[in-house]
Order: sequence, then structure tokens, then C-alpha cells
Amino acid sequence: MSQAIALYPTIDEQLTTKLGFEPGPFKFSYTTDVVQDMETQYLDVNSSVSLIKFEDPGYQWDPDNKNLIVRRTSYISNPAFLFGQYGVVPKDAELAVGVLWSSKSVNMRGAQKLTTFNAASASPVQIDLDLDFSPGNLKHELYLEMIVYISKPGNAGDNETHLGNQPGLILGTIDTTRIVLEGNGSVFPIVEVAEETMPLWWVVCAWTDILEDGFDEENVKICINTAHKNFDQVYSGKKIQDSPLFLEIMASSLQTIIHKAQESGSWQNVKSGDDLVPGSIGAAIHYFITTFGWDVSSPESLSFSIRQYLEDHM
Amino acid sequence: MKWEELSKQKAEFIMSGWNGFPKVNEKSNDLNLRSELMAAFEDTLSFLEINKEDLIKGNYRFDMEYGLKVYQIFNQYPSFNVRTASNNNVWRYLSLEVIPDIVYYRWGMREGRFWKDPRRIWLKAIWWYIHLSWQGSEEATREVLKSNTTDDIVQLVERAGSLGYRVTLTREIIRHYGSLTKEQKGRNNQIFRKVMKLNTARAKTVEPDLHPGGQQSYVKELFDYFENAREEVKSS
Repeated sequence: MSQAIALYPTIDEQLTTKLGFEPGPFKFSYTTDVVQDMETQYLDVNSSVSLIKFEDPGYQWDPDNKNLIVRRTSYISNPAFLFGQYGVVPKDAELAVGVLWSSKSVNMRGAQKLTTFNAASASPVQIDLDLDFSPGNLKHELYLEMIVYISKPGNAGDNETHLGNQPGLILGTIDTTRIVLEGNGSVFPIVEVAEETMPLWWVVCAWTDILEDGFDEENVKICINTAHKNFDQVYSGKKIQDSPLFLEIMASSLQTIIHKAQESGSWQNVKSGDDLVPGSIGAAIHYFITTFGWDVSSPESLSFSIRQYLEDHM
Repeated sequence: MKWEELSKQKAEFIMSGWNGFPKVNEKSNDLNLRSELMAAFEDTLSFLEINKEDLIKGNYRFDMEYGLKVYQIFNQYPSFNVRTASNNNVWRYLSLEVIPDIVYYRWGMREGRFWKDPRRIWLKAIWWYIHLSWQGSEEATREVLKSNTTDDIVQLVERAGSLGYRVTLTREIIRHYGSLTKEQKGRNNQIFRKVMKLNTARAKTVEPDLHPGGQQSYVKELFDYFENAREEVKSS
């Protein structure tokens, strides 16, 4: 959901804590003659957006030919906090929990209502997520956002006139999950090429619109040349992280990409984070700057901060 | 069938090698597809009673009619799904190697329409235009689209939104728009563009797919908003 400035109280972090939202484990499966269960892997559950993936023990699942069933049961322990003067809706309104799903790489999104409840409902409120995507409809990632919205407006009392009360009005997001379907979830586009007359590595910046084009191979990539005489030294037989040369390639590439971005007319948006499509090159660079603390104020400080970060974190 | 791909760099290279007119890559495994797409092209021209030389001037009815054909030709391949249809490199291959002559008749040497601008690759745009408008059959879809314009294609296809299209919603908006009389559309200049913009704004606070009154009433409210605004102006 985009961050529109709301003129009514919404479910903020504090209220989410008070509600006692208890997310359940995700269960992934697909159907052949029978339902095949897969294993959920939690990659990162400490960020505001949890990152998870799944693995098929039978190695049969693929997004083109198999469906994907996503199930999860969660609870809201103290729904009463949402109602009345200090909540987000009048006390006799009815709320619903819904899920917004999207898969940006196929430009597809949808929504499903999961449950409704009111101030008199028994606690906890149980929320059953049950999505079934037919084959060929998802790519790279599936993004799930659980929202609370008004399913039936109430009669606002004198002390409730400041509250939202329109049918359908979204009051907040209580949980967000990014599910990796293909690839390793680390989106860095590195490809190996074999070109005898070319250098050991180079960067291709082929984007048209930095705010919109995806941070993926089509628009930006680091090419590492397997046909080069020094290729063996790139990985030096050990883990990537242990190779100073690889680290140096990464650092120089990222610096080049950021320089190129700075030359585009949209650099101010990249810095401020305005109008960035999730997953775009602009969004990725914005993330590097704000989350990794890369210093873009001068070429030398950028060069320094990228290397310092990579050496500490890879 | 495996859908061949062409990267941006290769697309640029191929197009730069054309000398004023595109060259078809006559690889055997694409020839069936090419002949289907060519036959549909000829059918569309004769159905509309136009010459291919006239297409460059812009022709909504051609885009729509050819789009209807192209949509069904691709969809008869089980391996063609939205994953394929979202892969720009597949559209680049189709545009530059399979039917470059058709793209040329419609757009000349505009690289944006062949490969450069992902949202404007023409073949991709008309496929998505039909997909986002599909009413269950060719006839029903033609019926709701027949009095639209090329600007409506842009308004529908290029407003994907940051997370993607809500397909059932766009189909309902198109259905509603198609049901307006010519007079209703004429009274409210560019109502489609306005409705699409209003939808983007409204979807930030209300999820259209979860509207308690259902999607139909959500869409009706979008259109009524402008109809009512117009009447208020008239009565004041």
C-alpha cells in the first residue's frame, strides 16, 4: 500500500502491538494427484517485511507447471482495541481482514477477504489464509500484505466523529511477507559470460527509466568473463565472500551503477525515495543509501563507504 | 513450445543492422507462428478494407482487431501464460525476428515500439490491452472496445500501478466504459483517463477488489463521480 497521509486514525505500530497479532507458520503445497507439502524456510523474520522461501523435497515444483497453495492461520488476540473512541472505527462497525497479494514480475495483483469481526466477536479472532495460484501466474516473488479494513460502517457517536467510517476503507497493514519463488532472493544480477577478447568483468547499465525498470539482468548486470585468463582468481576456489577480487568487482560495479544513476534526471527521487516502483533500480539504490548507509555526497566517500560496508558484511 | 528471447543489447544490434526495412529471421521453428500472425494480419487488413501502407498514420481499429487475433493466437499455446507475456525479451524476439515487417508497417523504425521502451513495445501493448479487457469471447470483447481510441490503450496498459494490474477490475472498468453511449462519452471529455486516474488515487485508501459493495459498485462509483460533478456544474 502506498503511504497516503490519512485524515483518520490508522493502525500504527503501537496499536499493532496492542492487538497482539500472532502470525502462524506458512504452509506451502501444490497438487498433483495428491497434495504435496513443501518445506518453509524463514530467511529473515526480524525485518518489518518477513522474507521466506520454500523448498519442494521432491524437486517437482516449478512456477510454469505447478500450482501454489499458500496457507497460514494467524490470530488477533485483542481485537477490542480497534473499536471506539481510542481505536480506529466506531464501536458498532464491522471490520474485515484481507490479504493483498502481488507478483510484480508478472504485473499481477489481487485481494481476498479472510474474515470479519466486530467488537462483540470472541477473542482471539482467527484468520485463515488460503490462496491457490494456478500454474504460470507467478514469477520471482509473491508479496503478501495483510490489511484491516471496514466491511460495515457503524454509527459514529459524538466522540467517534474523527474515526474512519466508510465501507472498504483500509485502516492499516498488520503483516507483510515477501516469498521468494525462484532464485535465491538476493537479487543482485551477476552473469557469467565467455568472451575471449573482453576484460575480466564489466557492468551493463541498460535501463530506460530508473524509477520503474527492475533491478534485474534485463536492465543492469555485472558480467564476469569466464574466458579471461584471470577468471580462476575471481572465486579463488573458496567461498565468494573470501575473495578480495570478487569484493572489489562488486564494489566497483556498484559504484559505477550509482554514478550512472546520479547522471539521470531522476536522482533526486532516488535519494528521497519518492515515486519509486518496488524492485526498481531506483528503489534498490535508495535502499543501499538509506539502509547500508552508503555516502553519496562525493565519489571518494561513496567509494569508501561501499567498500567498508562490503568488507564488514559479506 | 519454447519462447525465444532477445536481450535489449541484441535487439539494439539487430535493429541497427536493418537498412531501411526490417529483416525477418526465417528460423524454422518460428515459421508456423509467423504464418499464423501474417494470415491474421492480412485478414485484419481486408476486414477493415485498408492497406498496410495506411497503418503508419495510426489506426485504433487495426490495433484492436489485430490485438484480438494476436491474443487468441498466443493463448492457444499452453506454454504462453502471463509469465511469458511479462517477459520483455520474448516480445523483443517476436517483434524483431518473427514479425518485424508488421511492426514496421504500424510504427516505422520507432525503436521504442520494437524493443526499447518496455511499456510501449507494440505487440506487448496490444496483447495486454486485450487481456485486461477480455470479456470471455472475441465478440463480447470487440463489442466493449469498438469505440475506444489509441489513447485508451495507453491509459489502460501504461497504468499498471506499482504492484501490477487488477485484472478483474480493469475488465469491469472496460465493460462499464463500453456500455456508455456515445453521447455519454462525448459529454464527459476523456472520462476514461479521468476514471483511471481516480482509481489510482482511490485504491490507496480502498482496495477495489475488497469493496464491500462488490467490484461493480466500486466501478460505478468511479464513473458516477464525474457524471455527478458534471451535473452539479450544470445546475449551479
